[in-house]
Amino acid sequence: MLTLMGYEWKKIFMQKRVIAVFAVIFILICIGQVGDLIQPLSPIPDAVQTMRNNREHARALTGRELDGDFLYEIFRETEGQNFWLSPYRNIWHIIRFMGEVESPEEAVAFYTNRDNRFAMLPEDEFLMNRVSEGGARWIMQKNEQLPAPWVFAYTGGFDIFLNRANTVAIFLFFVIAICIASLFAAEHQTGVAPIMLAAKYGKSKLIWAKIFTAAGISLGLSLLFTLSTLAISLLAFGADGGWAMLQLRIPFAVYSLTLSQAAWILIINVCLRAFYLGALVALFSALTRSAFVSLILATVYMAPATLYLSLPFNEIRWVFNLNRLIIDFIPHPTEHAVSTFSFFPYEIFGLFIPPFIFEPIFSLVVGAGLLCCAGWVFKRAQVG
Amino acid sequence: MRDLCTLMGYEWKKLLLRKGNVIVLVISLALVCFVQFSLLLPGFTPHENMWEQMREVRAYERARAGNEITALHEYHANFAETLAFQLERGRVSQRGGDWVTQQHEAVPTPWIFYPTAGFGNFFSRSAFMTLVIFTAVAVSIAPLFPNEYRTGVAALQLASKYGKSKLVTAKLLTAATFGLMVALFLTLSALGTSLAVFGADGARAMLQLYEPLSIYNLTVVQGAVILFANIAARILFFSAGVVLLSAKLRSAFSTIIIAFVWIFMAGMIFIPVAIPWIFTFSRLVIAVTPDMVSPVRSTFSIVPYEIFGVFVPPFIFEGVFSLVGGIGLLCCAGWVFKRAQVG
Amino acid sequence: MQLIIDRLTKQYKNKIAVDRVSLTLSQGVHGLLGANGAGKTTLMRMMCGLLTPTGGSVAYNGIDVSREEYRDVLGYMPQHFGYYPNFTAHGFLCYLGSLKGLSKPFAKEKSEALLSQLNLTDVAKKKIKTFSGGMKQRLGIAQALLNNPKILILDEPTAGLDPKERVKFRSLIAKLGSDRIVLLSTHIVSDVEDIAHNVHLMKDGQIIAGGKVDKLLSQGQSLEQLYMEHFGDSEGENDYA
Repeated sequence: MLTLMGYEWKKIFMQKRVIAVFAVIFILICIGQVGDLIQPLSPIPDAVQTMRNNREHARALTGRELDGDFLYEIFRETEGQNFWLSPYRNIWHIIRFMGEVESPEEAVAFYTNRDNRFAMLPEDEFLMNRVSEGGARWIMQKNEQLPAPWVFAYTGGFDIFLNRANTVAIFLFFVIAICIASLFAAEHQTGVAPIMLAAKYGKSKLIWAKIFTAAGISLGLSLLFTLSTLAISLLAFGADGGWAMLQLRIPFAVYSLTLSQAAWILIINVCLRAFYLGALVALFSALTRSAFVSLILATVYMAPATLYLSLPFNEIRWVFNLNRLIIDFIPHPTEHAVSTFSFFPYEIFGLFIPPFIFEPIFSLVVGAGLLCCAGWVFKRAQVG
Repeated sequence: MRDLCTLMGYEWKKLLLRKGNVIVLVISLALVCFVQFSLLLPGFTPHENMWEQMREVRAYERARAGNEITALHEYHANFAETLAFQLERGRVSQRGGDWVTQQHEAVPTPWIFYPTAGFGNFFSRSAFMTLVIFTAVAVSIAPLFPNEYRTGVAALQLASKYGKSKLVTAKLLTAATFGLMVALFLTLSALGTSLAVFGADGARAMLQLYEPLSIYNLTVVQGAVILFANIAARILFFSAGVVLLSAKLRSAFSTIIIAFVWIFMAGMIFIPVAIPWIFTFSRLVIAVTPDMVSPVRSTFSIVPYEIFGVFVPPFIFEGVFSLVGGIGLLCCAGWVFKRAQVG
Repeated sequence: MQLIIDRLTKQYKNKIAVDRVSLTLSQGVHGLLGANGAGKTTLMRMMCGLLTPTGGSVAYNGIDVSREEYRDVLGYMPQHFGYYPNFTAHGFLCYLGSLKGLSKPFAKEKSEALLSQLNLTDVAKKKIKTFSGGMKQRLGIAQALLNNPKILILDEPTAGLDPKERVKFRSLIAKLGSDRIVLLSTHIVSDVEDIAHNVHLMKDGQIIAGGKVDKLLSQGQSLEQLYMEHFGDSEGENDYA
């Protein structure tokens, strides 16, 4: 079977167009990680030096508690400052949520205001459509477990990685769709399908070889893309701050995770979402017998997410969750990993499961199912 | 000429006989029309009774049609801030800034209020509509040349009398007219739906009621026509590009990959530029893609193109650029097919 | 060694492509003659497990067509032979060898032997897309023989071959038929006449005539005459003028 798998990989990566698209997109993604530093494209004058200065400035402040005094100091320093030039880019969401403050006391109210948002959850009709009362209590409990005050850290590399992860994922999914669209379809299009299906392993080992190839390509490419972009971000911007809490990047996350943990969780999420998408494209390929149509269907599936569309009646809980699992599965490019660490849990038989745990399991199970369906469809193909 | 028209007729027939194309066009039509009023429907909005609210607002606005808007100091302040920003970034030269200020001052004041919900809604949804048009055209046109090779008919065509002359022209004109017809059909459908639902009032209203930062003395109807013309020009360029790819690559799959990269990825590559010529270049790239942010804002942007000292509004320059570029690409596509080696 | 086709039927919406065909094929070469649209290819595809019959069964020595053991002894060459354009001939055969359960070294050895037998050694390392029609056809025959099949189903195998190659092909098939079941469909009557032991005439999805070739010829009738008797409908329809 390994031999058959080897041939499947060869058939896919022998195609010049696949190599070309993969190479172009991979290079673009890698460059995109450090795009801020490349003159003259960067909006920051003397980008590299500015980044270095900001990094040193932020490193000197690493470990300081984000108490009222420090928050107020940051507010004063960043007032009117350009986001691109700020050494506090990684906590910009905190600064924005803090708003205009006139004293350290007002600044420290950030924590109270934040906690109040969660405390008021049961009264928010809109949000309470998305979670049960038990779920709301679970969210509040999780929030209460977070340490306070928070501690500032320079988190350059991790911040950039988390910021760009969704964009990387979209590009990655497109590459996977291109690779896998011809997995089953090409056999019909080239006319080799009759010979294959009449061969000894044509309806047994070959099918498994194709299934494992689809899985291997999805997981392999996603690991390549995510690990490369993480490595580039850490190398270019620094590997500091992995220990810092996730809330510096996503203030409304309620999970007690560090940034490095979040980065790894995100990588696993992206890989398994890619697996799910690869399985879906494989099924399209087997059903439609056309790589062209499969790619169109895959792109149509990915389009709503990039356009911020969602299912109607999204205020109904099961629709909301279905939307998260079907449409939002393809990440919004500008959401910066927020959906993975959303505070809305999945409620399964009274258990509350964070999205970053449930969604990968869902991807794995459903993806495996879709792959088996694709194999079954190909095996039972009527040729003639 | 008659032969050419006959050949074009056959090419159109081939396009419309493909079930897939018909399905795509029907779905596209349904989508662009539906999206015009979807936010009024329960389930698509968290608010209740949107339809009733829309009617009430419309009645309120109609009652105030013709009133003058005199409190424009915020408008002037926003304009000054925007111009300063563009000047600071080097996207507009000093002379350009003067030109922009002149245009701004030529906009008549006070403004006259008219309800423009129908046109405004159409403008708001134009990004999605443009995306759908581009996708429908790409999917339909990508197999135009590859199918001839795939079915083996290319050999017969290229060996026939008109195979390297009128047939090629027919194919290119079909691609161009198909793209334009799809753009026209979907745009008119979208506009018609929006006006039917929200009201056709305010045709004479100034464009500034929708896009306050616009510096052009245009009415909303003129704005809609210009927007359509720009979309049509973009589609022409895009159709020509897709046809060139399909003739060169001979594979619908490869063509659609590049077409989708063109449609979806171009808008996602954000180049925050500090250098004017790169900024201009990136604008032209966006000018031939579906603008997924705000086609109206980019079409009526205050930043003109500066060509040999002459300042040209973007809706003129980009339209001409797309048109000329599109014709050039069509000629290239024809040349590629004529010289195809079949064997 | 017997391949039993029992009341095999394939019905599409309002057309019966194969209508209760029953045949027992044993060792030797069997010819399947019929006009276009007679159902020959559909019959062959069902015998290879590519189409699910609407009714009836196909079994070789009791092994049903749906089982892997059946496909293990099957060699099939379709009417329109498909290939990967960027694979070399040798590479393509090795790939199919692995699909047929052959070990890598054996597949390599067998591929080389078959390429030599079919005069494709010179182009073994060239991409299939550079092959002429006849070369592709020979490659198609080669892949069918890779696993030394007990059942060899060849759908119009001589299409695209020049007369010299056809003669060579016939002697190859005659040799192969000595120890396996070969079913060969063709329009070229002389192919069947020279090498087949049995011939079956198919029309409108049914087997309308057949028998041992020797017996048919000893009755003073050539196969072509037999063919025209069954497929030439009326006087004058056989001329294009």
